[in-house]
Amino acid sequence: MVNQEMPNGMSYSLLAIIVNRGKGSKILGFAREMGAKDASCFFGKGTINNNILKMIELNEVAKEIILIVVPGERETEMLDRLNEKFHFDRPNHGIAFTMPLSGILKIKRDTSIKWNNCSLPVKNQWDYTALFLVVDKGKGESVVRISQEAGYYGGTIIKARGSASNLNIVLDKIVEPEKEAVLMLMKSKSAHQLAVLLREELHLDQPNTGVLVKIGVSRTTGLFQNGRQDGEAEQ
Amino acid sequence: MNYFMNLVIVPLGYADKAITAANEVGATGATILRARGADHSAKDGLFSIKIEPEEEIVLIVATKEVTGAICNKIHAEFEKNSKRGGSIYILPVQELEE
Repeated sequence: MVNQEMPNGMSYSLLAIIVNRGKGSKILGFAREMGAKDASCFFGKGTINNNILKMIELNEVAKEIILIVVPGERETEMLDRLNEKFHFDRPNHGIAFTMPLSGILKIKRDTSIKWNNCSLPVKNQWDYTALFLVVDKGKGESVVRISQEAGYYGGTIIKARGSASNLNIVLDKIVEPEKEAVLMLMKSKSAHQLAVLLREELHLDQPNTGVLVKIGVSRTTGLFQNGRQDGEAEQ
Repeated sequence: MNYFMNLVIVPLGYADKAITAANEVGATGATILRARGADHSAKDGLFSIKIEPEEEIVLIVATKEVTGAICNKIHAEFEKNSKRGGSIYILPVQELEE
């Protein structure tokens, strides 16, 4: 089967939005109104980096993560309209970021992937990077703790279940099928340092411990550090 | 080696099928998230009750060749045997630690 390429100039991005729980359906509806191709939404839990709240164990906050697929040329427009309505540019209103997609396939309709050749060479010059880490259940919090203690942002923990193919039957029983996925967004420079730190702490180089994936982020809005807004990263 | 993260979005209950298909062509593991979607074809329900179909998102990290194979295999599996389709989105991975 020959791989198709996307029509010239067509590219798609994945828009990820993290907001407090309860806003998800509103954003899904809004995305549908705007004519988004596909959208889905799932629950996660975030952490607040506050020592007092941590002491009384109130530093968890329920979050919702929304993934929307948007055409590349409408990316800015969509972000602006979402900003207008949901005010990601103010602190504590949620964050939104886009990741360029390198391929897309509708299972029922298309017979093969449409590769997006513009973003195929993996670029390393993005300002921000999304770290996506899949670990066993219960380790998600220690990942967030490790990253906060090292002075980075916290992360959002998502419940998941997993499977591995290359296991023998005896080992299969030991591997926890319940997993936690941690999503973290940070400057590309610190992402590399944190990735190295996490690999050491969690022994990711050994099999069946977890997977860490770094994905380039082209545009962000709503990221704050020490009360001031970080400059919006332009592509 | 260039890796890609596949987000395979399928209706609830079909994730295991997608993973079996992916494992057959060389994927080495998968993670499943449970989500709800905003389907265009789903009608707006009565009395402004919105229908949000439940979905499962399967995350698979694979090389380009395996990614292509996974997509073809899943397409072949889902073409005949299911009523509702899904979609696959492929994200480029900068770096991978495993």
